[in-house]
Amino acid sequence: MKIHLSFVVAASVLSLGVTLANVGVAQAASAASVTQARELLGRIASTRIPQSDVLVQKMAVKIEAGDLRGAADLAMTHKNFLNLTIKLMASRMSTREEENLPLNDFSAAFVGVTRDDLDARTLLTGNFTYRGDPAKFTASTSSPTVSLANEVRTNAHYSELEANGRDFGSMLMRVNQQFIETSPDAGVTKVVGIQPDPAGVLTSRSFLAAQADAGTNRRPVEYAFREFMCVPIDQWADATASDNRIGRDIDRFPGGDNNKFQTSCKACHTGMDGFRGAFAKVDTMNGANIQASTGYPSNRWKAGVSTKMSRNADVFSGGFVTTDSSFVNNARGPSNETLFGWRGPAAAGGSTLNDFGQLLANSKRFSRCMVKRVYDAVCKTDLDAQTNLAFLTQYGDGFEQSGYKFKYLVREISILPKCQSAAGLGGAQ
Amino acid sequence: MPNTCFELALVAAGKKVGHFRIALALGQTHLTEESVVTTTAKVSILITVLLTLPMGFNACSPGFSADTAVLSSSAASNPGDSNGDGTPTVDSVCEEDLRAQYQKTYFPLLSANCNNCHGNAQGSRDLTTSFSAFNARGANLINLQCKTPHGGNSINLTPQINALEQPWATALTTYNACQAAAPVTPSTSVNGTPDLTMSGKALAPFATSVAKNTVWYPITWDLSKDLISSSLIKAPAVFSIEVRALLSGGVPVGFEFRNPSIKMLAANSAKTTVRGLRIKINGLPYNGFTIYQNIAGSTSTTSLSNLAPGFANGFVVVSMPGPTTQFSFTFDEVN
Repeated sequence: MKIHLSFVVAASVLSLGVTLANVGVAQAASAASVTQARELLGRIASTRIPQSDVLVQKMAVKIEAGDLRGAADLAMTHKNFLNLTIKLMASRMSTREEENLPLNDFSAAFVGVTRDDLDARTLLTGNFTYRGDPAKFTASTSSPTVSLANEVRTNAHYSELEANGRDFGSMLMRVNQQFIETSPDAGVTKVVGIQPDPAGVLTSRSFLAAQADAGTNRRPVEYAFREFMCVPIDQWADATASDNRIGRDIDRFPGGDNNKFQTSCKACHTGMDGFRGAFAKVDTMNGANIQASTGYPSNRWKAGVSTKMSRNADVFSGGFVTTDSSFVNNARGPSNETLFGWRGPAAAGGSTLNDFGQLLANSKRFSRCMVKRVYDAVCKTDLDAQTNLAFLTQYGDGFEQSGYKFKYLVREISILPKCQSAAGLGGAQ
Repeated sequence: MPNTCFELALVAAGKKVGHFRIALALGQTHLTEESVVTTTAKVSILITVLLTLPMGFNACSPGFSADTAVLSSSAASNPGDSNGDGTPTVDSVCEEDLRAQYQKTYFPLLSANCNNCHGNAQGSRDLTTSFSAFNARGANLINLQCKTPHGGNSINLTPQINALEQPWATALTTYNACQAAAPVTPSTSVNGTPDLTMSGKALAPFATSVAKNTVWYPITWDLSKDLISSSLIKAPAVFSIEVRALLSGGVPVGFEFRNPSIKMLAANSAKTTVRGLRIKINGLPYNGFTIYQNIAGSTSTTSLSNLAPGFANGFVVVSMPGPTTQFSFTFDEVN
């Protein structure tokens, strides 16, 4: 009994000590600062945690001292900043439905580039992928399938990586190479080869499985602009641009009426078909990326170009014939030049898919679009890119000066009163 | 005999003498009322159009029809006063004559028989709407539709169309002759330099081109003399382009072009540089021909240099294309 009483007393003293330690932190911050810290954390990490949490208390101290950016930096150390906020921002950009999905190679790349504080333009130009680091797994978190063939063909690796609430943001490792499938899975072996024309997430399995599946490889262009320029095609269509690249499968007399082609069809196809060549050697098969240069499977290619590029070639035989990965930028009319702000060596066109990625990444519009993406993800809203152009331009310029760092955008945007009201988080819960 | 009125901006060796930029959109075809302009009116229309261009021309969007309206309103809507000063012009007089012939021939037939389905186009009971839509589609296509019951109806107007074909062909010949008789005055571009344009030429073996449509016919202009006016400064170069009849459903509806090229007249000539190629049909700009608007190239040899390798073919849709249809070209810049 005496022993038991001593134990209780000792435990009580210990508990009191811990409480006092926490109070010691909180004493420097007012209740208002604590509330503000929780809201800021909610925006950045998409997570609600108790006000007694040490991270909240530390953020509150920063806020009390007028260091909002410091508080935001602390919030970005929470695991859910990467595992929820950044992952969800990216996953919506990776598919046709633009919905929240499990982790995939596209969103893993966004998480990795953000975590490692790298230049965001490499997301469209880099030759890398992020996947689970076997060394980061412990006995209690069994290693997911890390087979390269598995990763190239399916999303299983990333789904497993995310399963059971794993902190995948800390478990991803960068591999400076992209891969594609070069041989069929005949129940024996899947052969993996080097991606010959890497372009960041544009050549990720997820993006191409969604956008280059079947079709005529116009959809990858449309969605690249939609996701990385934040511009749907009807906003950059231009019937006065050159139709030098419009393919043979586009009817110049739809319903027997050339006028319809001139005033409607042509507007979208001048730009879209101009860029389409960048994807000339791209195809997918059973969810895997395949490339003309691999020669597999042979019935998908003709003269080194995907046969989907010459589908329905007899509709207008005088249309453009794709023979390589070259592309031209026909979105250079006065309004589009202003809209996109083209810059860099590929501004007028290029010869590879990587050049296409550089064209997008070096444009002013890419920076502005990333501002919108981050704003939407952090402030939990849908910013109208047309009516907020001045805002996008201001923060896009800052994004560029920071070296295209996502953390800069998150830091600067999350502390805006505008973001606080947009997020609508209100007071403490 | 085909009239010649190809038009091109030129320059003497090493010296820039022309910088011509034509209006981009003055109507859908060369015969529409909206595109009837005189050479003097072109400048003011050009300025108007250039001022409206920054507004953008987005199709596939709700704004596109509005943009079309902007462009259409830039050109004179009154065919009898296309230069805007109340004075009928040669072009507008030609157009008025053709329109009068249309009113006597196709208009009663189409407005009576095609109104149910094409009431907003060639079947309209409004003459202007009907005439504009008729020209946009071309007589050949209209003839084919009239002779072929379609859309679930049993309307077959073959006898009536057969009776109209010859009068309409005569009306078009008269129209072309009327335009060819118009005095040609070099206009002035926006920057005040002369409008240097090639003289007009035609695809003489048009019928053969329709029958054997795989054959292309090169047509060339000596840029030292094949100009719309002898007073223009000349360039020691040759421009060439391949032409054939454009078919839709086997019916000739216009012209198709490929491989625009230049070369020097003689080996010792200076270098010639060109940029931006536009087309005129029967002397009027054809705004839908945007394909070569960004081309740029130069030559200093007597071998033809292709200005648009690997391009899709360019094409124009015209009403009743034939061996007398005149097409001409102009460059935005020649140096």
